[in-house]
Amino acid sequence: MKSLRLRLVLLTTAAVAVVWLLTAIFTWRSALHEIEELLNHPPTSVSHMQEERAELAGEIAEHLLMPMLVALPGLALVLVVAVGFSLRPLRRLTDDLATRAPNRLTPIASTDTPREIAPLIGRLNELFAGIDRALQNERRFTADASHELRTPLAALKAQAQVALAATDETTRRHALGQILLGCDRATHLVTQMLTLARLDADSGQAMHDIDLRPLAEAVLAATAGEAIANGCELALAEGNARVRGNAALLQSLLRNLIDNALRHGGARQIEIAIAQAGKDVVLTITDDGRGIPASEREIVTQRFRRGTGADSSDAVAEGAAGSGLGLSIVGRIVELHGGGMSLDDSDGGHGLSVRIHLPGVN
Amino acid sequence: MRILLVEDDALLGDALQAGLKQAGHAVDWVRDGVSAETALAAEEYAAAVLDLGLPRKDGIDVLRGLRARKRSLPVLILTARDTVDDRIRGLDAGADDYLVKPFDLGELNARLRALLRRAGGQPAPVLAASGITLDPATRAVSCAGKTVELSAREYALLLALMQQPGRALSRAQLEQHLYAWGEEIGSNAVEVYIHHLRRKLGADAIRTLRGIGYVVAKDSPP
Repeated sequence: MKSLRLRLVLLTTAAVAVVWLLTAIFTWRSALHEIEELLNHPPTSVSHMQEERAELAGEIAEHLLMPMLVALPGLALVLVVAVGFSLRPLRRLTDDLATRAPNRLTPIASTDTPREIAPLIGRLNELFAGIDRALQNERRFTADASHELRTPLAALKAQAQVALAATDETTRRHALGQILLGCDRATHLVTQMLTLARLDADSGQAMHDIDLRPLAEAVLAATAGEAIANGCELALAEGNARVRGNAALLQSLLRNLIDNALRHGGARQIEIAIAQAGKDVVLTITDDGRGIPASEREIVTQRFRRGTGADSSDAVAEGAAGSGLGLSIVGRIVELHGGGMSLDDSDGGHGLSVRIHLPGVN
Repeated sequence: MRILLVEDDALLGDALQAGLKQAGHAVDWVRDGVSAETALAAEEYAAAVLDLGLPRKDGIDVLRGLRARKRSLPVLILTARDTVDDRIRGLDAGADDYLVKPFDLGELNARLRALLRRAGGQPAPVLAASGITLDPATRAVSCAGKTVELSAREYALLLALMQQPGRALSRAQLEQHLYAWGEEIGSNAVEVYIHHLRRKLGADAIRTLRGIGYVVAKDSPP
C-alpha cells in the first residue's frame, strides 16, 4: 500500500464494517428470538398487542445500540493503532532528520515511502544535494585559494630576504620594488577572490532595466588611462540596447574583460559592441591580442586556471600574472543574469572575441 | 655552482635568482617545463630548483623525463600543495628534496648545500683540502688557520675545485660553474681568478695540469 490516504481509508472502513457486521448479526439474532416468541405466544388483546409491539421495537433498538456502545471504544483503539501504523514512514523520516549530523548530506532512503511523502523526501534530497555541491565548491575554493596565495607569499618572503642580505644598493632597491609589486598582486588576487565569493553567496541581486551604452562608456572612461599606458586603443561601436540587469555587476563584467585583454592578451586594440539580437542583447568584446587557443577556452573560465598565453614570458615580464579569476567572475555574472558566454577567435583570426548574451527588456 | 631555476612566477623567480646568486651560485632561470628540458639537455648543472605547477609541461613530467634519461643531478622541488600525497608524488618521481611555499631562502640554500655535498660525495659540511678550509654555509674560507677574503667569483671557483679535491676541472668546466646565461665571460677570466686565488692562498694551493685544467690536491689520508 503505497498511498497513505488509501491505507487510512481502507483501515477505517474495515474497522467500521466489522462493527457494523457484528451489530447486524446481534440485532438479527435478538429480533429473530423476539419475533419467534411473539409467534409462539400471539397477543390475546389489543392492549397486549400494543405492549408486545413496543417491547419488540425497544428490544431491537437496544440491540442496535448495545454493540455500538461496546464496539466504539474498540473502534477508537483500532483507529489509533491503524493511524500510528500508517504514519510510521513519517516517523522514520522525522527520526532520520533528527539524528542527522549537520554535515551529513547523503540522500534519505526512499524505499517503501507512501506516495504522499515521496515528493517531500525528493525535495529534501534535492536540497541536500544542492547544499552538498555548494559546500564542496566552497571547500575546493578555499583549498585553491590557499594554494594560490602561497606563491605570492613565497615571493614576498624571498624578496624580503634578498633585500635584507643585499650588500649593494641596486639589488636592495630592486628587491624592495618587487615586494611592492608583489603586494599589489596579492591585493588584486584577494579582491578578485572576495568578489567571486560574494557573487557565489548572493543570487538575489536587484535587477533593473539598464541602457548598456552609458554603462560601457563609463567603464571605458575609467579604464582609458591604463589602456593608454599599455599603448592600447579602446573603441565603442555604434549601437545601444536595454537589458534587465544589475549595473554594478555589468560594470564589473566589462572591467574584467577589458582588464584581461589589456593585461594578459597583450591587446593593442579593444572594441566593444552592443547589439540587439531578437529578444536577447549581445555584448561583444573583441581584441587583437594573443587570443586563447581553442583547446584552452574550456579551462580558462575555470577558477584559478590561466591560459598558457597569460603565462607567456612577455606577459609575465610585464608583471601581469593575474589572479586566474577574471573569466570566472565574468562567467558567474553572466549566470546571475541568466545569460550565456562564448569565446571565439576575433574576425581577423588573431585575438579573442568574447560574446555575451544577456536577456533584453520586453 | 651552476643551478637551473625553473619557476613560472615572475616575482618568486626573480627573488630566487637573486637569492641563489647571493649564495654564490650562477643561476639560469627558465619559466616553463619545455624550456627546462631544453636547458637540462644543453648544459651541465650542479643542481636544479624545480617548481611543480609549470605551464607547457608539468614539473613532475620534467623530473620523470630527467630521471628516465639517467641524469642524476640533485633536484629540489618547490610546491604550493602541501598534502603528503603531493610530496610523495614528487619524491617518487625522482626529487631529492622538497620545500613547501612559502619557504625560507636560508633553508632553501641550506638544503641545496646538503644536496650538493651529497652529490659530490662529501660527507663533511666543511670542505678541507691542501690546508684550505671552506664552509659553504657561511662562505668562510681560511688558509693555514687564517681567514681569507674572496670575491664572489673567486669563491665560486674555489668551491668548484674543493668539492672534488684531486679531480681536475678544465677551463670550460670552471666557466660553466661561474657564469649563468647572458653573463659576459672574459677570454682569460678563469686564469685571472686562479691568479687571484693563488695570491691569497699561496702559489701551491691550486695546481695547473697543462692541457687538462686545474686541481686542488687531495689531503693524503693520515
